[in-house]
Amino acid sequence: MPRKCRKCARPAVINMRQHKLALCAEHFPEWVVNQTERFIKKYRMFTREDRVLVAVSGGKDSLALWDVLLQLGYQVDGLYLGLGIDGGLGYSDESRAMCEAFAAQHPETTLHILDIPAAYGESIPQMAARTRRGRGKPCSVCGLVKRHEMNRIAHDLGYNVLATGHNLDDEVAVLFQNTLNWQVGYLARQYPVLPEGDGFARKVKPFCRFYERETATYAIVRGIDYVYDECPFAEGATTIYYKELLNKLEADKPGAKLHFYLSFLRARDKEGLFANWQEEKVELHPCENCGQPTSAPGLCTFCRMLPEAVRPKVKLAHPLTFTPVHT
Amino acid sequence: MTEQSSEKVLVTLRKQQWQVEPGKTARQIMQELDLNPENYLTMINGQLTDDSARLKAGDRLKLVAVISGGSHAA
Repeated sequence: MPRKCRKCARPAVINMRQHKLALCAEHFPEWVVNQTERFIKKYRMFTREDRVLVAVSGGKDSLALWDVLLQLGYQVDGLYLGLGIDGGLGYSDESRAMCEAFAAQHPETTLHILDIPAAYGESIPQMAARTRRGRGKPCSVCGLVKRHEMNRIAHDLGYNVLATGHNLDDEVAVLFQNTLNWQVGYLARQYPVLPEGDGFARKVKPFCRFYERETATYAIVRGIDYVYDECPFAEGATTIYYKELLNKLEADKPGAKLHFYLSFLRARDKEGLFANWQEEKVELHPCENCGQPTSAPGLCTFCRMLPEAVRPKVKLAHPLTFTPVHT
Repeated sequence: MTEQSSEKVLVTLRKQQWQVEPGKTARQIMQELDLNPENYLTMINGQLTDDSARLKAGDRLKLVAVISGGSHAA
């Protein structure tokens, strides 16, 4: 017999060893929804007055997050960026189909779609192949495009909060990497919420305390179809290597990942880990083309990367206002 | 696809398959296959279940990988 649910004694679908908690198919989703609400309030991510845009990829985390925020009654819509990645699997096509299927089942919400190849004439792999930034692997170009376009679309459509489905395994892998390299600036900025300002929308990670296996379980139990295949360019990614390493530790010491993350947040919030850290002042300027903030006068990195003919397409619908100096 | 022996448990992970002896838990089977149970969810005969469930002859165990690359807006 499998373990029994702590609440009703039916068979458990998951045993969360770090919490010593096993739950069934009925009580586990309830727990996820309640815990998400707790994290949103604890880290002051947003309220029911905010307009939230969830970046959805067709994967388990982002679709599960969208589902939970809808259940909680937040003003939330989805944003899908079509990146034109095929990898022999029709990866982007399948991802988009998953997002559209979810949206079709939830008429109370809207899915915004931007197809990058249709908008700018090139897929992400094509952009990467054309520019030095790509160097044969498009992840850096992909990150740049997503950051720029999510912020632009959130601004143009009037959303003040951008939510992503980053889970605890994502956060801990980054924390581990930044600690190994003592990237103090990155460590100081790692937090469940990044405040808005200087032309940037607020960024939040409501799933930052759920293990990856919990978000996958939630998606399956709730009947959410998601893309099981990894992005074809993620093969061999450092984050995946670190996640596997950390899961070896977790197998021997249940709760190790959660403890690492929570003790980092505690050291940061309560013990003044970065109290004396002074971030370098960067003067921000509006990009001459798109109007988004950039650290050097002229064009921002994204607009520099675009072919000249398509640059007018990324201008903001209305100008941003931001203070010129970021501290 | 491997034809399943009625006396064994058929284990599937993506395109890989194994036939293993019944009577063990899903967690034990993963450990014997040198797979870290933290990286997978377990479905027995199509039902998601905690990995302490013991498998019988003829059962089908599907392992669902949970690790993703950290990109959240493909």
